Amino acid sequence: MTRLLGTPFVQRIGFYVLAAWSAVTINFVLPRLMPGDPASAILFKMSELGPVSEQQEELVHRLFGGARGQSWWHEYVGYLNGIVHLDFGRSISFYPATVSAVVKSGFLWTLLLVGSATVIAFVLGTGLGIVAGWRPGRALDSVGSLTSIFLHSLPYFWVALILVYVFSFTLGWFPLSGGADIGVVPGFTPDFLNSAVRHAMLPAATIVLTSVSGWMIHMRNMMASVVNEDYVLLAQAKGLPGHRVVFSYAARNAVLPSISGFAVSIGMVVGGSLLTEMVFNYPGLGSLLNQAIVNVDYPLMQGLFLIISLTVLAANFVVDSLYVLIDPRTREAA
Amino acid sequence: MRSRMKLTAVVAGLAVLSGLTACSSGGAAGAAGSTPPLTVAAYSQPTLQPNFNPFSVNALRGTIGLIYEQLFDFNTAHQNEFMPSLVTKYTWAAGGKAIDLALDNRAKWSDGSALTADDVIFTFGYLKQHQLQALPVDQVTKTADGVHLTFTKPAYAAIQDLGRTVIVPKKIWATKDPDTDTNLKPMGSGPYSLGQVTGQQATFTARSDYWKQKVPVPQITYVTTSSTNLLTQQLVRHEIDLAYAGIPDVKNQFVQRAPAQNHLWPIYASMKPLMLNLKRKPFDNVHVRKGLALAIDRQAVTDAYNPGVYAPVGPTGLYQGTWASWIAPTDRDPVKPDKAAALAEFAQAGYKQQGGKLIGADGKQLKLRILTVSAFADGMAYSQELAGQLAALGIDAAVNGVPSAAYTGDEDKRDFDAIYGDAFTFGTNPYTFYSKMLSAKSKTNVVGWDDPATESALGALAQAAPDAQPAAAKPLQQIMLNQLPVIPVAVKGTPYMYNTEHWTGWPSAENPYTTPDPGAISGVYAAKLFLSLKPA
Repeated sequence: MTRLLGTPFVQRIGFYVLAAWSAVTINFVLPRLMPGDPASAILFKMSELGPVSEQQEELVHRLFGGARGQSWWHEYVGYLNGIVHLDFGRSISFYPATVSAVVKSGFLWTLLLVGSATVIAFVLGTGLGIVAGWRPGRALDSVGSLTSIFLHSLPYFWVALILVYVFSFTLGWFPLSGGADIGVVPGFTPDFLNSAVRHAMLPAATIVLTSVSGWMIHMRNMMASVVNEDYVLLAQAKGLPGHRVVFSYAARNAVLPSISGFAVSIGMVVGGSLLTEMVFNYPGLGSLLNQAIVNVDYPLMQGLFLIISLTVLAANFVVDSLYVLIDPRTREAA
Repeated sequence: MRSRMKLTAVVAGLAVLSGLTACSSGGAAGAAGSTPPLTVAAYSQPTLQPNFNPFSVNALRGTIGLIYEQLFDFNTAHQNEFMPSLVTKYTWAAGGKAIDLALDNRAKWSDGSALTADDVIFTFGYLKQHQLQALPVDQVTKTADGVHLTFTKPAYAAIQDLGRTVIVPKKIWATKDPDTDTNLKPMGSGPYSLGQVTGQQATFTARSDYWKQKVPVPQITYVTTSSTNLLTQQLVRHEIDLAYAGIPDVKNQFVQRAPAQNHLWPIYASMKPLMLNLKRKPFDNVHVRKGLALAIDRQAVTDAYNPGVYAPVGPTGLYQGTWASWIAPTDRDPVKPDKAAALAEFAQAGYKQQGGKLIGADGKQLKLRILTVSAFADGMAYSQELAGQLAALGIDAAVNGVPSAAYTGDEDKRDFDAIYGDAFTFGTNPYTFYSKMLSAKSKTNVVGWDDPATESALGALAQAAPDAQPAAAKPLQQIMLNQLPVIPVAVKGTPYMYNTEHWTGWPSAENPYTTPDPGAISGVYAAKLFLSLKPA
């Protein structure tokens, strides 16, 4: 029994269960540590738009005033019970829509936009890093590394606004904002897909531009450090073709840390790039999270954070398991 | 060597490919039909959830005004004139404890059936049953030309709330739950029916059989917008025909880009006072408050951000431009900044200038932090200007800008010295305005003003018949002038922006027939606006 408990596999599963429980609990606690309460937040938002009549005020207090009425323990038990039944309750900022419906409405948008941009940035950055790191100090490496450091230090928000100003506002090549054109009905129609792709171009380009350099610098440095390892020299000495040496020997080992990094950034995908979606008024999860925070919408925040943390856990689990396949050294340790 | 070539070629190829796709997707957006579009930036959030339940706090704008109609309203933009909608005339009776409403007998639901007194009676019953209305309605009965309502107490002051009651069809709503129903197939009596709804827009289609008149704008699209940067650009490009969000430097950024077509018309509907925490020393001292009121240069405050959108307000709190006939001539104009008079007031409270600092009897400098929302550029600019003016007098004054959740949190806990952010709406008679600000029972009386004379004056104004209201409002004005429970600074303008490229006939300062509101405030305003436009 003790030996079974000691096996790495069971230990690992145990770790993930513990991590999932912590994530779920922190999800519950964190939003409640924020100042403010939903009813005041909603009334404040309403009063910004115009006068709030007494009846509206009473209605808001009746519907949302109790959001802080019960004890935390009582709420926590209800919350855990809800998660087990996959019921996350009703959103406050979109009341009476359910949290599941609200999250569903933004999920695909974010997955497509941020997901594809992250994969592109990862592949492109890692590819460039391999090339630059293979011959450190050559022209390609110097120019590439300098450019990446420059790109990396640009404030994200500013890049987004500049792109909008140049390509949308001045040149008119791309739409200004939103997920698709006004009057286009979402669905698998050529019209909609064309419109959605055009709307996704700039936000995706912003994400790629600002994150590609991180992957590249990372990969270049790892690559540069393995280039002089004995096994690479041996492979070259054996007269293997260059691309085999680069990919099967050097890059295969150098890419390992990047893969773990990629697992973490998958979580960011689900969180939606909050800033991207805000700048481009994009209808994804990042925008929803922003709205949830502004309106002190506990149920929606919980739902979104839960999805983010569980995705990170799942991605890590997958990468952990893949590691065993990619990296022979971990197999011996196990 | 060859292999490296191959590799760089692949990378370069990728880059070219992405470049190509970028170039091939030019072209203008959305082909326009035969009639010009009308697009309104109606939702100040990035995404929306469909909800057309007029009783829900999250009902999408357009639900009230385009799909469902209200009874009547009053024109804030021009002398509070009566604006008919489903009701053509109202008559008070029984000293304000009863009212007769004459219904427009042409009114029809979109399924062709008549909108009758039964629907109105049902709606009032429904509101009562589900606790949706704060009006003291007692009985509603049918009359020859409409309905007769009785109240448990005189309801003169609630006339605008009464007029803004949304009427729904009895046959559909009898079984609906107003709290959780999202009403995705709304059937109303208004000029539009619901078209498409997506996560970022809702379209409304004109009804060919609207009961009142032919509807000039065939389709209206309400869109979401979350960033003022983008909104500015969309306005300049005329992708948006109507908006009402605060845009920095709006005159140069929008109006001057095409002065013949782009218009800004701020409507002054509410007053934004500087509110001091009366439960904190030394702000409980009226001389300190008077000193502060005399120290403020109101014109400079309103000019600190988008000059013209806000305007200085007189000491009674009522805007002298609209309410002149209610205010004594000597009390109409905004207080002029007067350093000597301000220092004299501070001296009465024991504060003297020493070495450029205003020092109290306890040897401490007068200190003041102004709480405001950091996310609102305009609010921050006004507060900074206020703090700067007070600092010039020797007060340790600074702005405390916080996120909106922290702002409402501190406000609810009464944890502030001074607050600049909340505004109070004038309405059709000043009762709501003064009671929200000064009544001990009001949730929005955050300064903690608790005064029996104020309560009795409010009680008298609530019961006053329309022609007796100006006299009944005088004691409240006196309280504002003599005791300064709050310090009036500016009237807040809602900066309505529209362009005349696609549609003309917009209301303006010269022709203020309605507020260009898409239904955020009043469905009557919205319907009046869209039914008055003409293709350019």
